[in-house]
Amino acid sequence: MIVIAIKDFIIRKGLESILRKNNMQHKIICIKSSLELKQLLLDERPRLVYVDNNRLEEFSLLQKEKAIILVEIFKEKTSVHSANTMNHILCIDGEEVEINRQIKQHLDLYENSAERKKSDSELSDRETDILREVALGKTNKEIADYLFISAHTVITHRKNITRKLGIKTVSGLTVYAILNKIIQMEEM
Amino acid sequence: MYIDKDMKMADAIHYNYLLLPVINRLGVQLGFGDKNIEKVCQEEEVDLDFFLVIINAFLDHDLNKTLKIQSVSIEKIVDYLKATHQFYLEQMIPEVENRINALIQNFDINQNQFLLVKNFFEEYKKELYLHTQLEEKTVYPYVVDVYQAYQSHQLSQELLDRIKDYPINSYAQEHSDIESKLFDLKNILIKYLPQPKHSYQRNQVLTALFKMENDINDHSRIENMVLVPMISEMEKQLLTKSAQK
Repeated sequence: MIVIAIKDFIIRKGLESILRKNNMQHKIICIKSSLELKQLLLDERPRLVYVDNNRLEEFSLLQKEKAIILVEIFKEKTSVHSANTMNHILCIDGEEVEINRQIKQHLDLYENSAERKKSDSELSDRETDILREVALGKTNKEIADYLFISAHTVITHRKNITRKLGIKTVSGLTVYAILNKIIQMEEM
Repeated sequence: MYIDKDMKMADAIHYNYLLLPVINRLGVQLGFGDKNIEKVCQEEEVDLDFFLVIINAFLDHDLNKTLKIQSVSIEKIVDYLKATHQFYLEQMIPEVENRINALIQNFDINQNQFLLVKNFFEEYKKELYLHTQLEEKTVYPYVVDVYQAYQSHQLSQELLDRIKDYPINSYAQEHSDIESKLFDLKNILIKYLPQPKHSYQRNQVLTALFKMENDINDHSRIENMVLVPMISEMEKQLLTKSAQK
């Protein structure tokens, strides 16, 4: 997920539409305050965040999250940027080609981040175990007892399974499990 | 884009053909020539404001913008929502079913896979039916009761208890599962059924599902963003008044 935390409406909307043109597959969310950010960090796991360079303090929460790629927005080019930080800034005074080039770099960083690779790949073995039990109709509590883990862990696994497969309901998961031979029809 | 009364009815359809069943349900049939929306509504005796609220709600997800929602009658909204139920049960469901059946007739998938998809959809059908029944037998009559009490300033004890125990918000969650199942079925067809020899039949099922999903989302949107807030506000005012007595 990509987050845009920029104060100016026009810049926020503009960046959002440019990002959408460059990549269709990621969720993009615009937020205005650090309060919204707090809520967002609780519910989701943003990976790439655009933020005004003069509001970094307000969004200091972000710097603690190591997995997040933080891109600062500058209204115009400054000379202070070293080659190191060039990937993590966006100067908005350029022409289309220049802006797209910068955004491409951010998206590359995002695509290549280890965290993302891990979280978007196939089901882990553990998740497959959980999916099997879910498909057989067991409740979270039953699964937890059977696999010797907490109910909370089961719920986390289920969330990840749903996110990876794009299937939300138990009957949908059952169909998936049968099609992929994780369970047999006779077991039902 | 906001559609207003001066736009030609035909242009609205060209803009988004998914409006076709929507205008039908509102009482407008094809063959309106080059007349604008106002004129067509006048001739067909359809409430213009209501028409605009509904089609804009269908196109634009942000309802709060410009629409005269407050002026729309609750009874009309309920009638419209009932008409959408009828449309799902009598047209969309059979359409999807026929297209799912065509999968096996054309040997697009094997017997077991076919049964999986078919049973999944059967289950969905039952849920959708129960859901429409719940709304028509319980939720909508309640909505109309609240509306009438609000209009007439007469609140029975029975209704008062009902408002306290089962306010409109307690039904708001009902739609989520109906939408989730459709979403799942789409993903199963897109991603997880084995590759077909020819995609055509499967595309047909998917197109029907996408259309249905779009329409059902609109149905929920009208309930959650128009009906529920209006009724919720009336409930609040009725409760305040009864407390003052």
